Amino acid sequence: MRGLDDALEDAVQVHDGGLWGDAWRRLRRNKAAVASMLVLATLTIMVIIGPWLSPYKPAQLDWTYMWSPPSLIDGHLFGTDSLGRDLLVRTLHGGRVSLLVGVVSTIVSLVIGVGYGALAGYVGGRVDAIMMRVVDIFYAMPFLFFVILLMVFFGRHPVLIFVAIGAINWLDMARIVRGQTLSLKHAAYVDAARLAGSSGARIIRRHIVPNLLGVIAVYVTLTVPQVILVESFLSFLGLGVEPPATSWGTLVNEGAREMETAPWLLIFPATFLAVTLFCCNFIGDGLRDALDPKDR
Amino acid sequence: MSEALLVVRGLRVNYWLPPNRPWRRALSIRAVDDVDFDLKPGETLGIAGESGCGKSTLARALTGLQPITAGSARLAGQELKDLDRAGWRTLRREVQMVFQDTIASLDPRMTVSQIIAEPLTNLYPQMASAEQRDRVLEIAEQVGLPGRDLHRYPHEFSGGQCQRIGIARALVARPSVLICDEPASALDVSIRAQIINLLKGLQNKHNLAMIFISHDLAVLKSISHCVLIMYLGKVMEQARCEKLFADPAHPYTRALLSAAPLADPLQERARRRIALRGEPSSPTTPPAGCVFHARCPWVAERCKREIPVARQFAPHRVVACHFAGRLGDVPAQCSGAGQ
Amino acid sequence: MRWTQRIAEVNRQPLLQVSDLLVEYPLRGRIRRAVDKVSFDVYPGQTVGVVGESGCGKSQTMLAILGLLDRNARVRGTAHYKDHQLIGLPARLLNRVRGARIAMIFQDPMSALNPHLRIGTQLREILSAHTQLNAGAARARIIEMLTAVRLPEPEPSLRRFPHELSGGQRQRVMIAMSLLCEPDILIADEPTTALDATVQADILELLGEIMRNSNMSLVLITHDLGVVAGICERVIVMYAGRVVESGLAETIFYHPQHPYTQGLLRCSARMAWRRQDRLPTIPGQLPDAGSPAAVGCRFAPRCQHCFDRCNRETPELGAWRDGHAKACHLEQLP
Repeated sequence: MRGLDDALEDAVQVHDGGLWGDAWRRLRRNKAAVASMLVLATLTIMVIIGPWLSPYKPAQLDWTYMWSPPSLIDGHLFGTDSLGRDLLVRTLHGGRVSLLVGVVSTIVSLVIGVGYGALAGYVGGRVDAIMMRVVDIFYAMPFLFFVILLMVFFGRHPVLIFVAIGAINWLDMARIVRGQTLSLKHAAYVDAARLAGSSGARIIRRHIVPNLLGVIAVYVTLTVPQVILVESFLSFLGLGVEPPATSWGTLVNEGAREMETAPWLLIFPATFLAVTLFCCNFIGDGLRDALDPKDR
Repeated sequence: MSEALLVVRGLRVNYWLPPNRPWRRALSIRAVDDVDFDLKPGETLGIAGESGCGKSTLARALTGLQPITAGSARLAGQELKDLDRAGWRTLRREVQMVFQDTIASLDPRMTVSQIIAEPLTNLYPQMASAEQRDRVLEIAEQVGLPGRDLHRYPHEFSGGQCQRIGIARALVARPSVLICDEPASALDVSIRAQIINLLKGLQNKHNLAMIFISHDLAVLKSISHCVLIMYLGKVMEQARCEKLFADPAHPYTRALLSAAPLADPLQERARRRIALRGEPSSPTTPPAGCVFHARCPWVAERCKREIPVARQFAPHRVVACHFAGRLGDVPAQCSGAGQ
Repeated sequence: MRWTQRIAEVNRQPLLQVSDLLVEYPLRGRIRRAVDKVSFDVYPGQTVGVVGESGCGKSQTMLAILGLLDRNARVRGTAHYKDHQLIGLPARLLNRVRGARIAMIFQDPMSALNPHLRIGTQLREILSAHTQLNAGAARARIIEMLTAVRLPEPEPSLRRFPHELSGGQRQRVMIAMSLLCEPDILIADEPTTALDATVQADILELLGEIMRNSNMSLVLITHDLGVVAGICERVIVMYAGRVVESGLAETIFYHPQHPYTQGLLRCSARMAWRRQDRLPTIPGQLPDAGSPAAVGCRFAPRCQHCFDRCNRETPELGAWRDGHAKACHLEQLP
């Protein structure tokens, strides 16, 4: 049964800074989301500033402290690895790469996906059919094969990895955006905009995309963890960033190999990775709840 | 006698439903089938009919939201049928529409002032922003929206206020023709009359030519000069408002008038309603002969074979019925007695 | 005349007695009252029309009686039906009443019917939930009911899906569904609002015929006074969660005592309007659905007869005079 809440939400005559202000307020009330945002913010700061504060360098070798477990006394808070490199600073350094992958790849997939999907959805008809078949073809391509090809041709440049991952992820974004556009395109206010003389481009820009932002925002927070995991997977296979640079994926890879003798090498990076993924998911859930009731 | 602003002759609008199976042909629906009328400035044409009669499609065709299949529609001499996008952009300065779903026709992510200003931004790009702002404030005041509320969002307003916003948006570019597609149907009874009064006042003030679409005949009676009754895309009857209500000639008009509930218990219970036979026909499979024959209480053999042409029945009066003016009383088995 | 017979029945026990029904929702730290101390009675065989505009609480009242509101609704007051007190009744017992003894039909039949099940299946489900009929007897009863609601081709319709029927046909199926168990009370929430005018007239006539041929009570919720004028004996007018006037249909229509009723009647007397006239309205806006319980008459801001007592003191629904009650401080409406 439709509760009174929906009707009351409509009727409340409060100037609240608009739709985004209202969504922000609802998000603030979601404790899990707020906690996740704080944790992520803290993580980001640690990852950016940490390596400068640490007395150790990520590539610094220390033959006296190889394989040493975490201890407060000798200054290696997370322990060291087989080459005596401090795990804490390596984890933080690796965090830079992982988080950067998350953000950059997501932005790449966002820009390509939203543009492609909105265009296909709005134009419709044969153009839409062709554009979606192209997406289907891309889906059918083995992702790994594509990445290996790119590596072979262009070398293992970190930026390349970001682009490669983003270039694959846009497919999902495009499909979702196209689906939403198809339904938004029949909204009464789109007709009204056409009547007001708006061109197709203007309608997409001013009417469709802003009303998609809710769905996009949610999907973005779900894409970020996905992308970080893909990067971890690539690193696991040895296709990620080149040593001595590292990422959480690479660290997990190395740690997994030494799991029985030096479990701290696995536990710390894996925990950071897991915490980031959880936080993104909670924020995604919170955003969906905060934005959905207004998305009619 | 002023010149007609909008002249429509033989208008046809078809659209195609995608087929169930890929190898089958698309189903063609004749949503608007051979409609004629003239519209003068300062006058209102009321269009009535039930769902599926084509009145909304007609409105969309006259505003360029749906392509015209055949026939002619001339607005201030400009033929609407072959207009391209640039042509429509110019023409939309002259013809605008108010929608039925008041809240859904406003973009929830834009403020009210942005919504009202949008036609000016698109149709008059050279207009200075100060003048745009003045026009927006002026029209907002005319529709009864206080200027201090213009920075709010649509969801903060009630249904009736949202319709005022829609009307302001339609009139800000000062069109000469305003099409209202069931503008008050979704509103509460006490608010409905406010909106209709507002539209009447604005029509007088700006000498607008108005097309008012409604399924509610009583509303049309209070606002129209001429009324058009449609069924399955065809015109059943077309007459001056007073004549139509005083002496309806077409069976469908008579049935519609008798179906409208009266807020008067004694009258409502005493009157004899004209019951239509059968169910409303589907637009995809219109009946042969007269489109209304399957439901008409006065149906005869001729009606099933021969399509009645919309004839001039009297001055300013057009009826599409073989037996117009000769109907007499309702056949006994089709009248519902009052309780 | 039938009406006087029915009035005589008023001396019998009411079938449904609602007293001081209250429905509240907590929202953003404040309490919103959707239904504010509503009381009314329904007698056997009587047709009651509940009239009001959006936000007046008419649907919420009925949903509260049947326990169909969201979990965050706080319902207080009593609703006596035979020996049961419906408010707060545990689901197990309430299920025996709902659908079988008190049935409800809604505005949009498409959302009340399951689009994935055939009509026959859905109808059989009601019978198997509430009766012990075997398959053959159930089928016979269903066809009998579909014929009674004048659904064209009842037997083939059993195998159809809801989307294959027209709006009017779906509403007939809904009515048939609600009548299968021969309920004592049928609550119809805006049953014809979504239908075309000619179909609406058919459905109302059907309901009237059903009422004439049975001793069932009908509670008809609508915003359209014309609909009420046709088949209702008693009328209850609601505004902003409160009952503002109630009485026999003739009294309400011809001698309204509350300014809101009078205004609503003026807005509904539509066939008398002419193009030259300015249409009558009630100035101002409807109050927000479920605004916080305020002191004073909720209609005062829009009332042309309001004086200062109206803002200080909430008018109670006055004593029953010949079955006519009003909630207004004015002694007599000019």
